[in-house]
Amino acid sequence: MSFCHLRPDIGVLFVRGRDAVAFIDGLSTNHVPATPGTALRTVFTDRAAKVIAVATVMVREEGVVLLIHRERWQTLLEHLTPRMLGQEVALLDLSNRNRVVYHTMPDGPIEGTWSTDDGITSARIHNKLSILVISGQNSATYAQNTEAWTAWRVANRWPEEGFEITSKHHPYACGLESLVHENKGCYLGQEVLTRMRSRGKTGWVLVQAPSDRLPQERITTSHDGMSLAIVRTSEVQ
Amino acid sequence: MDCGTCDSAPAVPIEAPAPVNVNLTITDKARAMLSDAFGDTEGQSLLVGVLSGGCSGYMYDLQIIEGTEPDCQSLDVMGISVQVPNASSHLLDGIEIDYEDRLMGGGFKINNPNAGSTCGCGESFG
Repeated sequence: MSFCHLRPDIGVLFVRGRDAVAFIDGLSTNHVPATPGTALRTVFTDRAAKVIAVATVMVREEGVVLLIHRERWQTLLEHLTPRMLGQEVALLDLSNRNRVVYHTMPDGPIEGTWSTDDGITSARIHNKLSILVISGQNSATYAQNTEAWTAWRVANRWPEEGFEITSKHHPYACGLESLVHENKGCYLGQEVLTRMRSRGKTGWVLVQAPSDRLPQERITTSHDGMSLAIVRTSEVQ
Repeated sequence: MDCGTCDSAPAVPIEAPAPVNVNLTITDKARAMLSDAFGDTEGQSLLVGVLSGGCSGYMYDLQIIEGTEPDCQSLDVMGISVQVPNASSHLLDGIEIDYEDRLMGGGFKINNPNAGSTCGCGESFG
């Protein structure tokens, strides 16, 4: 079943300027190509590879749009701004002009691109999910659909800020392994993540299972008898 | 997405560190290598800057340039013309530019008292 879920908890940050793509690519785990129209997700990590923020990235001619959870907004800005260092990069807050909506859909290919039609920008960044950015005047018809979203998250092992994604975890522990590019080169936290991957030791992993088969203290999200939990890799059977 | 009015969108306030008057040193080995690199061409400088990225969050940016760059401090260090961008001057005050003559991992090295950590290859610091 498809549904829409308004996300007032996600802000829109425009990283504008000639150096914007290289700036974001050099500080995050996924490879952000300088190809306008590209859409993907990436993770900003600290030196210990702990998650600072997860961002949906839309590459434009003039820079990069980042969709950032407001819970991580300020922390990410404190991470980015000292590193601007005279590069041609400016940060603009477009949150008041745009609303973010998650739109679940039937299984389909991940396109890795974004497009805009009638003020609605759409990026299919998951085989069952598109992220919409809707200019302010068009967003009135969308509502939060929290229960359906929780059910979808559990069914699709989708981590969320504040539940699975916290500053205590690295990307491999909280279900963001697909956002860690294996060959992109150096970024903050890369050495730690590369070591984990090459040794096959991530320590913790996000799993989806019936709630009664999981250690209760490790459960992060539950719905209808199923749960997500971050467990030690040694506990996975 | 409403990006057509980006020019009027509120910019995120940035508190850029104040520029620092940079003092730096160049070892004899590095000075000899730079003199070789400059050759007989007049008006060349060593640009010593910092970019974001790398394993430790900041990367050194060494370039030989002609003329002067805007928003840079111009230094004369033992006869070598050096330019340091004001934007990264707070990260570069007190550095020593060295040269290691090795087959693997050799080249210019920067010893930086402002670095809390350094990447194994020496190109990145945090």
